Amino acid sequence: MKGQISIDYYVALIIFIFFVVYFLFQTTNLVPVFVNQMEEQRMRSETYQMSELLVNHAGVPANWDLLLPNNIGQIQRIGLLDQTTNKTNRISVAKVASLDFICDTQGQQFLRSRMMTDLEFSVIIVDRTDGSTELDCVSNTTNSRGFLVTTRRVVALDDGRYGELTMQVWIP
Amino acid sequence: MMKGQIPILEMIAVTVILFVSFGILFSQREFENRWGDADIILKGRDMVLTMDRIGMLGTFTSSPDALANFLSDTIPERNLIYWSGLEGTLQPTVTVACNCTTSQINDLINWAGRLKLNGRDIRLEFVSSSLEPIQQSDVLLIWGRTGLASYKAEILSYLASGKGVVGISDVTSPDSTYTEIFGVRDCGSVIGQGNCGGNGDTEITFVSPTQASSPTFKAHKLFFHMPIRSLGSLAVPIIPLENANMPLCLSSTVFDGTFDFKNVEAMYWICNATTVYMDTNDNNLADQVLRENGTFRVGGYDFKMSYIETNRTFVSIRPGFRFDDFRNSQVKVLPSDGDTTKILLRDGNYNGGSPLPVVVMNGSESGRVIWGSDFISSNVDHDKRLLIASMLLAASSKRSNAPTIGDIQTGFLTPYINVVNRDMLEIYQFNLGLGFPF
Repeated sequence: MKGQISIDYYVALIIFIFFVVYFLFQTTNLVPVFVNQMEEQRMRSETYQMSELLVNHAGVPANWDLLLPNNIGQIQRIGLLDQTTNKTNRISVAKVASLDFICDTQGQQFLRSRMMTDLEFSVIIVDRTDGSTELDCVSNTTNSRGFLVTTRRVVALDDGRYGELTMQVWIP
Repeated sequence: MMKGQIPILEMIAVTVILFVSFGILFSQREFENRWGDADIILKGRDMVLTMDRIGMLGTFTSSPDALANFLSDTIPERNLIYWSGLEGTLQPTVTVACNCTTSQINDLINWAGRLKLNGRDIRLEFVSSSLEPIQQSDVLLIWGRTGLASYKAEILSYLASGKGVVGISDVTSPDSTYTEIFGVRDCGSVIGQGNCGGNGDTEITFVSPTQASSPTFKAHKLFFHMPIRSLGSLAVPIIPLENANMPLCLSSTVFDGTFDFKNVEAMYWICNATTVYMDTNDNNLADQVLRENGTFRVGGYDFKMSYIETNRTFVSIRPGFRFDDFRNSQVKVLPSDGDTTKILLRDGNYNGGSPLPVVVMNGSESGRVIWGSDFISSNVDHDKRLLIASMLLAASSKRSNAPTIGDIQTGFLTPYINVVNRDMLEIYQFNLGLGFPF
């Protein structure tokens, strides 16, 4: 009859709607997973990069720990490598103490700017010869997303001890 | 075909096509990465570098217990397994098969069982063995025996497997088997009886190799660089000093001992693990205070106090040293091919001008053999202990216990080239493997 819609049209419409819904459902499911994966990859690489800078870079200037406490603004980059021997994975106990001082007095914002990152992070160094904590620099910002990336590095201290540097990074 | 059937078929076809397309487009996604592998590789590198940076790489390469303690301190993951190996240098343990008596084995252990080179402990493990079959080992020591015809095949097979043989005997006329194995024959058959007169010199001297490829190079290098251990015993903690101006030893525990060579006895007192008082002029009074790597001169020869431990010292002999004549006058041999570059030690010359050898080395790709006149049956002072240790190590097989990754799920090897020159220049590779078994 005139004005009536054929059964073909109904079936085609239902199929079309079904597939549109299916497409949207799949897309909304996949996109966050993709985004999380991208963030995780970025955080992992940045965590490794930051740990590498701490363990194997002396900082700028190389004797930045001597600028404390009055010329702290002259520090451009923070690294813990003992510049006197310049050997990879051998960090300076004096620099660790200086980083601890900066962490306590200047806060994370200062540290983030000197470590070229916008991520929240914590750095902990534990002396593995006696279990004592050499550095405990943890951001106060809550990890509201509940996701963080951890990198652990084994390091030699320049006084003959050895320890573990644990770096954790998260997006606030 | 009835009207309406065609559109229904088209719809079914379209539905199937769309399902297949969406299945491809929205297939099950897995985001795989290899950060876990990268983490193991990074951990391995950090471990080895840290071992080196704290100055313990030498200790860890020679002491499995020390390495295990270090790794358990630094690896929080309980399911991570490790393995290690050494390539291109002396292994921490060298097994010496010896056709010796129990008493001889004990003597050998006492003389050369514990060595130290470049900060690494090297252990010579002596095991009693017959000559057929020969015990599993790195080097075979045949002490005093010259009739080897019955064991020729076994010994040659042992050599062919890359291992070494050291023969210590006063062989006067080597038979064909002895000649084939050790490469020495009586002098007369090599250069003619007329050129084999004379009784040598009063001292035995080294024939310095002129190039590193020389068969004698390694033994010569080891003798003049590797220190030999001297054990002390607990003594009265008052060290007699020759000079009142010398610093006093304030330690309450003192060990004393004697470093002897060529009938010279140099007394020493170990004050503590860093200081030794030495009597260099044979009057039983200390006249020199030594620390590690300090040099001293006794009986006209130079020595170095390489290592000082609580109750023992490790002394190395400097170039220029000569042995007392320990050659049996009946022993008159030469390298069977007349090649005098194979002679490590000589007792002067025959009257024909050829050197009169007391230690001869023959090297090949498959194995290394050393013959020496018997110097370990009597008066085995520290100089002779060092000589037998050098000969055994120079002849030992060049096996490497480089680890292989077995049936584990994930594992990576971290090789580390280490260059050390504390006692002797060595370039070797330390391998540390880390992996997950499951």
